Amino acid sequence: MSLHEEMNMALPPRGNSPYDAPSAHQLIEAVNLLISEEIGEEISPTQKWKLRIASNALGIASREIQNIREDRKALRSILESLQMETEKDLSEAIRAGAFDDSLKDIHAQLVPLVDKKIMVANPSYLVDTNDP
Amino acid sequence: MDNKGDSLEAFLIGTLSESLGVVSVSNLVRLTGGANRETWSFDAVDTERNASELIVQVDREGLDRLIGTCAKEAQIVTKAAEWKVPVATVVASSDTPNALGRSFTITRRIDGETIARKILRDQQWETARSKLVTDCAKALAAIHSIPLEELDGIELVKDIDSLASLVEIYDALSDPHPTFDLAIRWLEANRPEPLGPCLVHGDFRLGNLLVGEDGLRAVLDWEIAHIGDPAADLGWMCVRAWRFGGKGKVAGIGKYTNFLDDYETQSGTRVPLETLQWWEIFGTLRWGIICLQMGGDFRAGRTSSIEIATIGRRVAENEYDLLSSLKEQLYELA
Repeated sequence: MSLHEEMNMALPPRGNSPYDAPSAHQLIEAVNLLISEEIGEEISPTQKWKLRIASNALGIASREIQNIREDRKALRSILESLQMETEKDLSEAIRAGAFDDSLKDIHAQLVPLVDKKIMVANPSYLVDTNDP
Repeated sequence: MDNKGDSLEAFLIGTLSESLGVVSVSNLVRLTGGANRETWSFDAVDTERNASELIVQVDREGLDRLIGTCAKEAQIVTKAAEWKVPVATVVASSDTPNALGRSFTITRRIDGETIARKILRDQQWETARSKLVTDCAKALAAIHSIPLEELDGIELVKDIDSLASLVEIYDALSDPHPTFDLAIRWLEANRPEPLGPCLVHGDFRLGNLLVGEDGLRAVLDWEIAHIGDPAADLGWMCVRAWRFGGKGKVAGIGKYTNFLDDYETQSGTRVPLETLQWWEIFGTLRWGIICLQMGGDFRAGRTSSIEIATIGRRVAENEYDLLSSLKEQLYELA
């Protein structure tokens, strides 16, 4: 084993070829950390509120970049199973009453899709809020 | 103070000098909250050195569809006050061209809290919280009791088929969301018996309610008040977005049945539970479509506000809530 291998200098794999690291996702995360933790301590309540919104927006962007490939695949497979080309086609078919006898089925297909959207837009929303 | 504050200060002195004899304005502070309007708090002093604590609301620049609503809103608020609805007294209002270039309303400032999360959680508001649902039922009953002929001089939209009007907006946006279409299909097939028509606040919910330690002190933000079905106001209050993380179905605090009982006591009208739930689902769809529209304002370059941009991403929350409510309805779990 060479000295360099022993020191474990190997860099983590780069998922954003042909670009260099840090990736878009990592850059966004770094900026988010900067504005939410570092700068966040030094500013007025109004600015803090605005920064929280900005940080929230970066969180969405970051999760979108991470999940978009998988979630697009899921959308495609749901549309295929319903023999639809696009979301627009599905919308139009639902509105035209094509699924009136199987609203439960359509509902069941839409649930995992919307869960994925929530996981990107606001994961903390996925909790049960019903009264016990 | 930035330039915006300076020019607003000069404008406020100019506007209030005649009516209140105001000679100086101080403590002009921009308040957070409100995506459609800017809200500032300030103190005005007259020639006798009397101070008035006031609030000014100004329509946000760039959102053309909102301009011209302030004067109308002031008329409605003044009428609501006559009918014992708790509101902030209007001091001045105009939507005619002015130095500011935007319409505005100035009202008396009332002490209290509007931030929903504080009202729902802070110890200070514990007493207010315990009677808030009853206070809201009472205020809603008062709004809904105003005879239509009392509103004759005010140009109000008559929303006779709320679902059709909402669907029209959704279709015009041309950005299909299958979950919304599923909800529309269900709503169309399960319409409740209509109630009213009467004056409907249109945005009656935590965030637009000013609460003091003794309970509800003022109903704010009347900009979309219209003639419609009173149950629309009741259902809107129950939409999950307006529970702000609270567990109770009504404004994050109360239970459906208590709310309906209170409303019946105050108004004499029993709103069936199914009617309330239909309007809650309608309200969720409505908030979803408003989110789509607001995100669209950013998309189309009408605003650069990051706050409005992220509201566009709240569409998914409403899709999630619609699917949760529809599950209860489709599987008759409700």
